Amino acid sequence: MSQLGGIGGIGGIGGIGGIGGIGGIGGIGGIGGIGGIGGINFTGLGGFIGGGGADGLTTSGLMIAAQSIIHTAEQDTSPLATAHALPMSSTSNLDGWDSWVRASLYLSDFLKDLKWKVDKQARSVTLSLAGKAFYSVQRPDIDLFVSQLAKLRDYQDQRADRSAEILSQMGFPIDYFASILGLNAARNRFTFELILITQVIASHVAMVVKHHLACRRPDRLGATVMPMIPTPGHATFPSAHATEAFAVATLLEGLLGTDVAAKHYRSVIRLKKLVFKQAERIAVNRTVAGMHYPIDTWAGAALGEAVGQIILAKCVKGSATLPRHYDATDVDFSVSNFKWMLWQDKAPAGAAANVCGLARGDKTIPVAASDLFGWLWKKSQGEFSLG
Amino acid sequence: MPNAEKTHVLAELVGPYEFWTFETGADYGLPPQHLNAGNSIAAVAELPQGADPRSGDYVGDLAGSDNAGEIHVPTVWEPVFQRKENAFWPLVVHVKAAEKSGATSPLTRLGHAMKPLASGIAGHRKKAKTEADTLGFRLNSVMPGETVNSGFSVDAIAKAYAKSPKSAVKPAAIVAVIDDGLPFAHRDFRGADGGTRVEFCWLQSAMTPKGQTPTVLYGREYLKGEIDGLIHTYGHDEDQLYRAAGAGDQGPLRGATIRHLGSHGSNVMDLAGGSRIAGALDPVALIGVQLPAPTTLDTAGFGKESYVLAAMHYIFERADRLAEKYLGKGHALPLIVNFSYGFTGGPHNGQDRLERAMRALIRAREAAGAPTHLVIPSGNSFAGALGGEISEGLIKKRGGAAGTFDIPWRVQPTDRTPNYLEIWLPDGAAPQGVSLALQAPSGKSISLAVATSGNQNTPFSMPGLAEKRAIGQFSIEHYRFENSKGRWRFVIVLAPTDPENSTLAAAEAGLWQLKLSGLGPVLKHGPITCRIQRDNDPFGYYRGARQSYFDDRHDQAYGPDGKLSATENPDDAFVRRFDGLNGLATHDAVVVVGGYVASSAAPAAYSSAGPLTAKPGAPGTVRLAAPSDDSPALGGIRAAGTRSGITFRLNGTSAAAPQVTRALALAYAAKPVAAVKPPTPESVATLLAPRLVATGGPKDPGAAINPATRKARLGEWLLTEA
Repeated sequence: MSQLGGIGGIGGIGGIGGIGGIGGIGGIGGIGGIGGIGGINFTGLGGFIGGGGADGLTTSGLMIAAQSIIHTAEQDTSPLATAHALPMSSTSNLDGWDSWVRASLYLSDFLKDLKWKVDKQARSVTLSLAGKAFYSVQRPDIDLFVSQLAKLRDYQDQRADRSAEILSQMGFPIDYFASILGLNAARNRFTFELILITQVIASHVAMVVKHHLACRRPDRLGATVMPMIPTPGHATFPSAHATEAFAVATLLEGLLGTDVAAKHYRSVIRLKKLVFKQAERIAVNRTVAGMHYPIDTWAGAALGEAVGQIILAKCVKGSATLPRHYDATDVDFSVSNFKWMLWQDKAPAGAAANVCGLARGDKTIPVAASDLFGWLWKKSQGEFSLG
Repeated sequence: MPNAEKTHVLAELVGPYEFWTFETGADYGLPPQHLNAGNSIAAVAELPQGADPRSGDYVGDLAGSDNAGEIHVPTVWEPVFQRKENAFWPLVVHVKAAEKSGATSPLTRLGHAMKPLASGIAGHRKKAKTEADTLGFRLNSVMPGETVNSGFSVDAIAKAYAKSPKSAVKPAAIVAVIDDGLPFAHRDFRGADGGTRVEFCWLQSAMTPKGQTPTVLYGREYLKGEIDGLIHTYGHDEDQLYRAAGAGDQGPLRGATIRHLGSHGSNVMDLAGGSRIAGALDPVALIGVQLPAPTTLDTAGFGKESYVLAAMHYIFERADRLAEKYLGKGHALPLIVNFSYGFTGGPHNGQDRLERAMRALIRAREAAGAPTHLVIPSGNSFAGALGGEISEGLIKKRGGAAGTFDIPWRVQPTDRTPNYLEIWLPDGAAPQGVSLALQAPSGKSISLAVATSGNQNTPFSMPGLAEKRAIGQFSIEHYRFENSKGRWRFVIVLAPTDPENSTLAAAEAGLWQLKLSGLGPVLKHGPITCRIQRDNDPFGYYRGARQSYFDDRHDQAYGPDGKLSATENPDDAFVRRFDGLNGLATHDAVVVVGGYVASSAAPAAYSSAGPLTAKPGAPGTVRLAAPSDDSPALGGIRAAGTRSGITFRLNGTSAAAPQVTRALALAYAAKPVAAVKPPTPESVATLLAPRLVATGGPKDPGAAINPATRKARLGEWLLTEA
């Protein structure tokens, strides 16, 4: 009956059921409209639930085998070596952790310093890091959203043109950036991990702002919007797709700015521009689809830029971010106005704060470097050489 | 009927299409074509030589009138008005005080606003010795008011153009493109010096920004200098470039195909004058005119005339400035105008008003010693069952009662646009004595009474319904030709079967039958020609137009091989495939281009043809053909999309015509300017000789394909790769 007892051991799988609790993180992924763990696997981070072999047959087999061979070790009297403990709180252990564990650590590391202040009177949300405000945004008047519906109607005619992009960008559209930089999921697994965690963090931060500002989606304010994909169950402003895409673009701009990148790419300046133009296209695709107003993209792009800068600063010691404030005006989004400094020395008229609504401050906000992010940054730097 | 009074007052102003658009069917328009105070309407006036709508006879009357309307003239090319024939003027009529005199009907209001012009015409009639009744005036569409530039002066261009920089290479030929969604900043239109070869580009429904001196009466003009500036500032981001240029954000009604991946005009303009290899086209300067989107939308062609005519005048005027800038005063450059548009209606004898106006311009420029070509596609309706012919022979073959015939007209469900059927009587025949009844798909019959004389526009509703809202209109018109001749036509208009505004009455979808009798005396003069107007969504637009057609059971639409028929129907069929040329391409001053499949040299299944019996090279026939599909698998011809870098395939004879335009420009550019002479009917062949293969000749790989109809489909030559 020992075999049956062994099967009783399957009860141990209940412990694995505990990992099901981590499945909750998948649920958080779901907030981003990302489609949970499945999407993250697809994008290259690897399984959040580590280790195979948790099926009943293998577990049963392992226990039978253990019982059958255990006597060989139990009866051995050969000398034993001293036990060595792992170093405590060390990035040298990170290689050994499952990728989902690292993801959980990066996320916690970022969020631990993040605070937000909601001012209902001023209708604003301000995000701060270690007490320093880096992003503040006004809730636009509902009439401003209504007036932006005309721009949505203009974009609506492009649904046929862009449907392939829209459908394949419903999750984290990592391929659209990888294709520009020639990244490969096997060769550049840590670069993918860095991009992915940037998207996950951007998504979480965007949800905080969305929740507090609680702005209605286009399909609730306009009868002719009729989105071509289901509208996610969260507020419209700011756009999380824009936040994620511009956070990634900012991160990649940083990666491309390194000496290592300069050795392995002959066109970093062009690539930076392409990455930002792609971020714009990803964000605008959501307007074409009927999910977002152009001002959602402005708010999201500004937030994404901040998140990207903070992540870069966590990666590299001595870096900082800048504060920004967004108070929406009824204009279309344009990367040439948002990120004009990539192309021009002088800001174009469309980038003026009183025109586009975005004002960037110049007083730097220091960001403490993080061992975790520093480790990941180093890892991804090491991957360029194969590129 | 109150309509009789209206038509009497405005007999000069209103034809069947105008009456439907502004009166019977005004609510069905996009946008609804209501004539209110403050509206501006594009129009064309046919005036005797010497009558100038800018001078006292016309404008002067305004001061003494009750100031109800204003007439504005856009940029015009003066020499054409010296010709000894009636002149066609593109105009903009501004309705100032529409409510005066208790005028409630839209057309009466307009008539009031038009009083100055009408009296001007009347005054001229007394003075002029020319045939008084050949004068006329036609309305087009209501223009978006904000696109009309109140500060326009014809002199502003001289100063603005003087500031525009010169290209490094002197132009040797000019290609002008009239189309939709023009990517004027595209890299294919730049010369080796990095600057654009687009010297002038006019977007007819864009807005000139406040503070900028307008150089066009409506829309916005971009000169080379401004385009170069836009490329310099925004060349990295062409989305933002067109947005900053005011070319992209126009709202759904005016459309903005420049925002799509590809537009009709991007492909056509690239084929006509785009260079994928730097330097190859440097001596070819470009002029672009983008028609307003509703004009592109309405494939029936109504509403175009004034814009197209204004585009031609603009191109001719700017071509002279361009030549003077680069070559000095008194010099002219060869000009090739590509107009890849068409419709299926019209008289098909070169006497369509727009045809006459365009022909006059070409001939006047040639007379001034400047080589000028207008290149137009043959059309895409060969297999569309849009043309039919009633003859004594057909009635006899069918065994019907003498002088009677039922026209089977199948109208599509969910059609958001009106359907138009034109029935052209033979020369010399009169409509009186013909009886018409229109039978709806449900079997209900609508009788269409022919008045004892003159033109008429009669709305009709469905019998048996309490609601008497019009679902269609029956018109009779004496369509005037030059020299006061003309031809009678019936025009039947049916409302959309699925109107945009669902509170409006819809026409039934299905098989309508127009039952004609008493045709005997008419048919003694010759056969009756029936044409359904083109009614489909143009490239890049989604309005919901659905093409009606003649559902003739004798139409052998497919050949024994199962493919769409490439030959004419047998005698017992009403549907005719030949003599279905683009209605704008039937005069003698146009190069008509058909389309063939490059891999087989077979005519493209859709490529329209002139009459089978016509002599090759005669007006109203296909002159030559260019590829419009690469192969049966690779449909269309690959050329530029709206952004530098996008390419896509566009099929149809629209893609064939610009290849001829380009070949002509390159042929002129290869010659010394002094050797260039105005063209003769033969000069197209002479110019393109190295690239032409005679159809049916020993070098024609498709000579064996339907040899009897080959020349009517493809003209005398195939344009081949250089």
